[in-house]
Amino acid sequence: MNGNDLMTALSGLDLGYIDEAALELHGKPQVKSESGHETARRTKVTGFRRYLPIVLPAAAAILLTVAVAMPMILRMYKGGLSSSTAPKSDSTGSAEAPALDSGMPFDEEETAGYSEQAAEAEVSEAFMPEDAVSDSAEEVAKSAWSLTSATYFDGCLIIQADGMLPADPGELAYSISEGEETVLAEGVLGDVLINEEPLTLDLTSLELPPGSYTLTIGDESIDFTVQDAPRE
Amino acid sequence: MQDNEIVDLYWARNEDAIVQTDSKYGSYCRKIAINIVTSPEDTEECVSDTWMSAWNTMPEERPAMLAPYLAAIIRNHALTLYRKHHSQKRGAGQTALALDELFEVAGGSSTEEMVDMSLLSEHINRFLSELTPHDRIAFVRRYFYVDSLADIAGALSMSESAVKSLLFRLRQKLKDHLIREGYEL
Repeated sequence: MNGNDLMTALSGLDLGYIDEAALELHGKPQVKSESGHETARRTKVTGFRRYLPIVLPAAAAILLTVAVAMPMILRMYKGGLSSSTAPKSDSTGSAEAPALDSGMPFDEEETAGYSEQAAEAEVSEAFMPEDAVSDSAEEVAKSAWSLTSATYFDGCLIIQADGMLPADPGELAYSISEGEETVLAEGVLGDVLINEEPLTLDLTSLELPPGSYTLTIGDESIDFTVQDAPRE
Repeated sequence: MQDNEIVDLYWARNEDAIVQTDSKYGSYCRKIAINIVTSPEDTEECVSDTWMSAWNTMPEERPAMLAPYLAAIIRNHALTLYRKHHSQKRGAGQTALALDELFEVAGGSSTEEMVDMSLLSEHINRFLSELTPHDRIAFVRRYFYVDSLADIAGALSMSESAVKSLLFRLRQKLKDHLIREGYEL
């Protein structure tokens, strides 16, 4: 007996053993490489199903936002109406003086007050030093929202944030870094933003290997983890 | 299409059976053949022979698992073709390497004794039943599918050298097993 006999006898292997070793050859779609050998093609979830993990939380978040934020917005709106009728302080500067001295009837003066209120902020900023303006803008940005969680899934990063995001989050600066110094990507959110509620970034182009990373948006940072892809 | 439906087509002598088989297991069978014969032309010849064999044997047989059934058939055709092309020498490629390795287990001459192939297959199956699934897969991929060490290493998440030493140990075990079964190696 020799190796040829063994090689021939191996064709009589138990079908179960042949199948056991061949699952990845015929259990998945095959693709033929240039060398003529075939490798298992990664099964990719495509179409609408790919976005289900994003769409479903987004729908839930929108419903929650409407349910929680609407009463607050209504209260703020009512509060704004009542405060606009209150006497204005002198700290707003000379821009306010003509309205006060205009001698308009009360109703007209009250109506004008709403538009003046918006003008007040601009005028008061215009008279503030530049540093003070940017500081106050940063304070507003800082206090307006914060990042609470970031979950990486199939190339997308889904971010939950507390508070009200700016009207156009796409203009916020962002960066993705590994460790403290290695910046893997940076730019404005608009480059990678695929959904605003919840904030969802498409990071597929980065092809992040498993590990821990830090996302920074403006002054807010949050860590996230890329897990090992499940074996198919 | 499910395997039993394809087998039903064979039994009904419906030629769509071959179309469905090629569609479902064509690439799988081609992979086995090209590992052994290496040339695309020879591979296609093996595939055609395999469909013919399946067509001829299926009414008598009703394989529970179609894929390994076809794998065994195409492997036989590929080995026959390989031997036809390399009657004087073993040639190159994975088949020659795998054969060399198997000659380490049994290096005798075929003319010395008549080997009962079905009995030898039975002994090899018994040997495989004693292995862990991991080791068994490595062995079957190397000596049934004639996969390269690199492919096996990739499939089992091992280094090539680790696969090489694993296969060496398995060949030693097989040799011991066959000697215990009464073979003179």
